Amino acid sequence: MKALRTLPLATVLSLCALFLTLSCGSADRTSGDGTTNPDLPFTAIAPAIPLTSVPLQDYLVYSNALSSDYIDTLRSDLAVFDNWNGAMTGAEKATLQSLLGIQDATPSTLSMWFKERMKYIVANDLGLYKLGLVFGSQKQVGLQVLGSSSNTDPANTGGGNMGSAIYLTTLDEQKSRPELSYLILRINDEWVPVLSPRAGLMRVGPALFSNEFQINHTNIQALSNSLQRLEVLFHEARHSDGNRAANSVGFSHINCPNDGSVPAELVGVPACDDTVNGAYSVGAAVLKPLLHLCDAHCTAQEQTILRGIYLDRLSRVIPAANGTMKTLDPTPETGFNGIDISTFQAFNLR
Amino acid sequence: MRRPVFVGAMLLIALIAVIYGKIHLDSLIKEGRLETSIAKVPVGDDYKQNTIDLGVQPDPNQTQLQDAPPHATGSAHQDVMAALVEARQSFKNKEAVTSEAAADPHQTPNAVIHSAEKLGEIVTLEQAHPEYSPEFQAFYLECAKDPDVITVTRVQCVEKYVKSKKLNASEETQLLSEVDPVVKRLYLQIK
Repeated sequence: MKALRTLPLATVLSLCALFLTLSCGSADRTSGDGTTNPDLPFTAIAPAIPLTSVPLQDYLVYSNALSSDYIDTLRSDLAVFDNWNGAMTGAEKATLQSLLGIQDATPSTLSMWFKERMKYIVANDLGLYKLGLVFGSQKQVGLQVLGSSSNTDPANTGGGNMGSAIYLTTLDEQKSRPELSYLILRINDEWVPVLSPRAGLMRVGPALFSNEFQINHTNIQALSNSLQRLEVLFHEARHSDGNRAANSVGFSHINCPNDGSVPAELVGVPACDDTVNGAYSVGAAVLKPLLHLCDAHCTAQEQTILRGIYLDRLSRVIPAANGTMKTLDPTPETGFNGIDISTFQAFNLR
Repeated sequence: MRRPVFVGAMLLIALIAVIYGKIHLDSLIKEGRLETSIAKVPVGDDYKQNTIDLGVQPDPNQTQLQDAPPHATGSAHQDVMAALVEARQSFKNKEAVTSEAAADPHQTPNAVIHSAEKLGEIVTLEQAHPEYSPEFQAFYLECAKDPDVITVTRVQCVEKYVKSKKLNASEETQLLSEVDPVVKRLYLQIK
């Protein structure tokens, strides 16, 4: 089966729009020499901060562009994980260890696995963010506002891993613009370099929070709703993995095949994995033991819905015809070399 | 002299008839068979007749679904049947799954969530009305085998049927031989 790995449509459309704009390449010559002053000074690449045992809810950086309701809800979700006792069956533990490549699946090790892959939560509307194109050899940074989100209905958008999407798009753009070193994205008071898919950028959309998409319609922070969102968060974290050598960058989804192996309603939609350790498997494997929390704290109806979500995730993993599932290499991409851009000149792109 | 006796006898017979009628009417009302306030169920363009509850193929010229039994009719049986009809309709929403999965592959489609929500309501209803187990079991079985129902929901219907019917291993194997291979695979995967 020839599978085409694809990025989520919304991400592709928005980033294509971005680079179609950039392809004009003309600078806004507002000053005599064409340069401008960024409203936030560029900085040197900060050394990687060692991962700590700080709770997940305090570890993530939330964009100021997010509504406070979204942030409160996400913090509440992550608090559920932070306070989880880690009760799971032997089979659940073994699955997690195998999928995530960790020695002992505990809340602590799962939390650390997540922190390695996810750091920033940004709003769905990418038009709210300023982007910089770093041209290392020219010691310049071209600035522009990131293109408007997408042509799809944003109400249906739950989330997406922007780090891997921007990284892959940068690689593609470098084919025609070899002087482009990498991209930086302004989040709050920080220029975040997207050096690899492990930049840890996740955008969150209305579907994660709107009442219509919730399991419990009366309490957005109900345990059942939190578990649903936690599944999405860990799913997205997997998209930070992979490398070009193994053709596994971003663990992208593939079009669901029309061979009777997956639900007919998914055929042709880029919503399947042909590997055993893809994002759908990771999300399901994390959700499964968390469902034990629901035994005492969710209604029978909520449990039925969560089981439906679990099944939905599993249904997107294409079984191997010979019974042996393919495993993708999760080794992270080395990525671009960071550059000290603190002395770089900025110019506006239009 | 005989006329007053005759009139009295007639009045007595009439009184007995009235009392009997009253008792009979009370009985009918208690059973919900004389409910007069009939609500409407939603009818969309793609609304299809559900054969499980009616047991007969619909007359295409009839519009009786417009007058299908509502919830809270006073009759538990009618309420259960109405809930089953409504749930089956919500299960047949594969097109929505396709479009939602295309719009955002990272989130479970709302159609799947809504369908599971309806199934959860049915399970709760079954717990409250074990006397209608045959109806619930027929519902689960038809749902499991219906190719128009969302696949994930079909798997959950298999689960509910096996549990409700308390199938033994061989009966379960027989059932799984009769359902879609994807449904069977997923059921065995989560069993």
